[in-house]
Amino acid sequence: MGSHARPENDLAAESAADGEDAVAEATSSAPARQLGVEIPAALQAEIRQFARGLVSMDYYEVLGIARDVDEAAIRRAFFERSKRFHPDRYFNKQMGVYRELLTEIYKRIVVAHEVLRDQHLRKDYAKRLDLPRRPASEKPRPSLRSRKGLRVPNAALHRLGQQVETGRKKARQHFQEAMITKERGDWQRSVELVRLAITFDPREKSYHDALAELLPRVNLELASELRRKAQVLLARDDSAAALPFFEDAAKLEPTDAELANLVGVCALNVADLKKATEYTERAISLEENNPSFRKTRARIYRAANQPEEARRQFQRAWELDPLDEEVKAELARR
Amino acid sequence: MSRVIGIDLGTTNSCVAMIEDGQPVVIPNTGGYKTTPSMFAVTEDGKRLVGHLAKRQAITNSKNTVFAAKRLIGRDFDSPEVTKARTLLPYELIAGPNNDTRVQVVDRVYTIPEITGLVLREMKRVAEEYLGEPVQEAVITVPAHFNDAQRQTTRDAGRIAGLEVLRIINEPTAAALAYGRGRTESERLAIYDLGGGTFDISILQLGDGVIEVLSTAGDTNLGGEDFDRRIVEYLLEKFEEKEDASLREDAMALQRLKDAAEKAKCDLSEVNSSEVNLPFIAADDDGQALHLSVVLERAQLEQLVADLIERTRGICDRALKDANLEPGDIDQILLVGGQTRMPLCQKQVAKFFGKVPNKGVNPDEVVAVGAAIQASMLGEDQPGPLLVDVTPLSLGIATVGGHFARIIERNTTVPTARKEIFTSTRDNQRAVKIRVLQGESEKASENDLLGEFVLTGVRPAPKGEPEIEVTFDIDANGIVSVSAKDLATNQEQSIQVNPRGTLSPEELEKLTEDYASDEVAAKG
Repeated sequence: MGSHARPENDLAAESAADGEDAVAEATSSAPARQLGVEIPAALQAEIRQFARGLVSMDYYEVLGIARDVDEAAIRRAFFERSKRFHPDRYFNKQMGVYRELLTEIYKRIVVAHEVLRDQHLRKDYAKRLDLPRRPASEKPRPSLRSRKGLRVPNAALHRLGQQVETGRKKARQHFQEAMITKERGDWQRSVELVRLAITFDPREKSYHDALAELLPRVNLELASELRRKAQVLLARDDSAAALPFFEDAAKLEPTDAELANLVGVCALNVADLKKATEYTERAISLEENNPSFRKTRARIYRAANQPEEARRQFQRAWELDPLDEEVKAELARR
Repeated sequence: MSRVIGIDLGTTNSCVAMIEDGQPVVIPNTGGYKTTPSMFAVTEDGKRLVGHLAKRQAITNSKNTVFAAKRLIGRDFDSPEVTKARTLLPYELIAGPNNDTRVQVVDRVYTIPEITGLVLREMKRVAEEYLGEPVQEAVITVPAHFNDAQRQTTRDAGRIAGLEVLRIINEPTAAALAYGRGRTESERLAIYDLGGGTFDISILQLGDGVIEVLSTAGDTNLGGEDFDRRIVEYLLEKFEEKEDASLREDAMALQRLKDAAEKAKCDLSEVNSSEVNLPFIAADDDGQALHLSVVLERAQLEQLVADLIERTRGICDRALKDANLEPGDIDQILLVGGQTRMPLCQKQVAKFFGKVPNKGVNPDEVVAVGAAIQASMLGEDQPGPLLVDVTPLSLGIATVGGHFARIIERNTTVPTARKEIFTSTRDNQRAVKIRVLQGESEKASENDLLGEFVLTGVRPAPKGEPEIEVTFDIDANGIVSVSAKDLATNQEQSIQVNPRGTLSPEELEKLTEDYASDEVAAKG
């Protein structure tokens, strides 16, 4: 399924896209399996993007079609959009704020389809779209020209202005709700709401500040939850299942040596030596004198058929903890 | 994860299905039947019976055997439908505290959700026995033209049965889901659903992985039971002509006649003539035994019910008009419901659409299969066709002079939101009462009241000047929210229209608990 949610000819989305990128940057450390929201991060971003675009999109853009397409193409587009954005598609998923956004998006898709599939309504709508939107008393002003020399109808410019205004208003609403949610101690939802506010008004600094303040606390909360889940799985000897949870937790808490080591152990158990090496090295660099990290490293070397290196690491582990019988046995093996 | 089942709760028979290893399975009951009579009875010694067991003793215990309770769901006791039913049904109907309809069976009064719940619980039990594990969630089908109260009452019945109802979907839509499963080509479908008690016609568009309802129309009081009654009436008249005696007061004789009428009707779908033979049906004043023996011809039957089938044509017309289509635009016609087995019915449908109906589906099972498909899509996250549904009845508010102002037209795709601006009717009016209605009548009083609220703090102004924006919102679960806002002051008031069944919340809670402990007792 492609990213067809992004309108191809959406002026407003283009002009504000840099803001969204900045957000994506700031939150790229968020784990793939958010505990509060059970849909992929990419879909979350797509939904946010679409919801923001709604204010300025016309019905053709909402369905992602050109103005001159025939009835069958309208239906196809509606069906494609339905498969992606109908709330029932995610009926038994935890969606947090995304369910409301999705519903808002889908309602617009419904109206767009209703108008465009009816010949009369469509004709009326097309006429209205081409009308400049300003009070009748005002003298018509010449259309502006965009940089590329394309004619930009006044209506589109007007919509752009309107979009910025409505966007700010919506952002404020989301942000206010975020602060209330924060007071109630629901950090995860609060972060989602601040992200939404930023999607609608990417340039408001206080939103970014709030996000920067909230994220570490949420990440800590998430990381410990992920870790707890992973440990249960590891206790059941299911390294393959535990690995992604540990990994996400480690991404959230990049300075936690113990976590990095656990990723290393799980990766080794599922024979992903590259990942195992990367994380164990990280654990060692964070905490040089931890004998268990050395032991993990030693086993990775052994799995990679580097017995000399393995021995050196066991040796180091033994120096750090001379009472470890396991290490003694390993060293005596040769 | 526990399994989610689909239940076709029929007027006459019910059917349960589920998806197993990606395939729909219609679950047979312990007797091996794939459908179970929607019947409930209490024997003289106080034993409760449901399904085939209830049906088997209906003739000897007709006063305490409840059938076709679905026709009473969500209906007020003083409604024309219930008034008529009281003259026809052998069991006794009485009025409940909210003017709802209840049934007196032996020494206890049962509510309709309770009786319906017992049928649903039987279907749940059938599924659990087959699976060997408990079932908690279900999708249940209802006639497309059920209103909010009827749908909510069905949900309540599900709760009494110990089921979480994930969704209530329309019967014809379920049939389309079953037909459309695994099909990729674009097709326009008409579902002609003439069941035991209700008639529905739905027009749908199938596409790659999506099933879109274009329109639906129906009559919640037209079905096979009406056909049976015509035959019973005919048999009664024949008997009266011959014997100078009447069977109309004799509950047992009437029950035997009803059974015989249904059987003759089914026979006449296969053969041209059927003999109704009921020996010792009554005795005359001298104690002499009287017998009923009437030969019914197919032509005679067709004459008796022709107007009933004719009534469905007008409803088909309306559905097509709402979908902006002509009969010729339909690619496939599906027949659903046992009554569509009647040759005259098939002939009339073919004539109307100019096309022979599709014979590829089992009219008794297809609805349950569709419910199971939707159940697995929603509850188990299985890929399946996505259903894009419509709201079956118009929604709006009451305006001055008792008019009904539609805000969301029937057959609008859901979820959706619509707005309209209204104004005041008096100078300096400070408050506006918003009455939320559902229905198709131009008169507010003839539609169903879903809820009401008052918007206060309207800016004082000459009448006709204030702008009050009323917004209606329907979510994917069919829950309606309404808000009203004075655009001058931004003063806003809103309600979520909590669909009300016929039971009070306390009564529902009590019944749910009673039956839950009753079930434990039965198992333990």
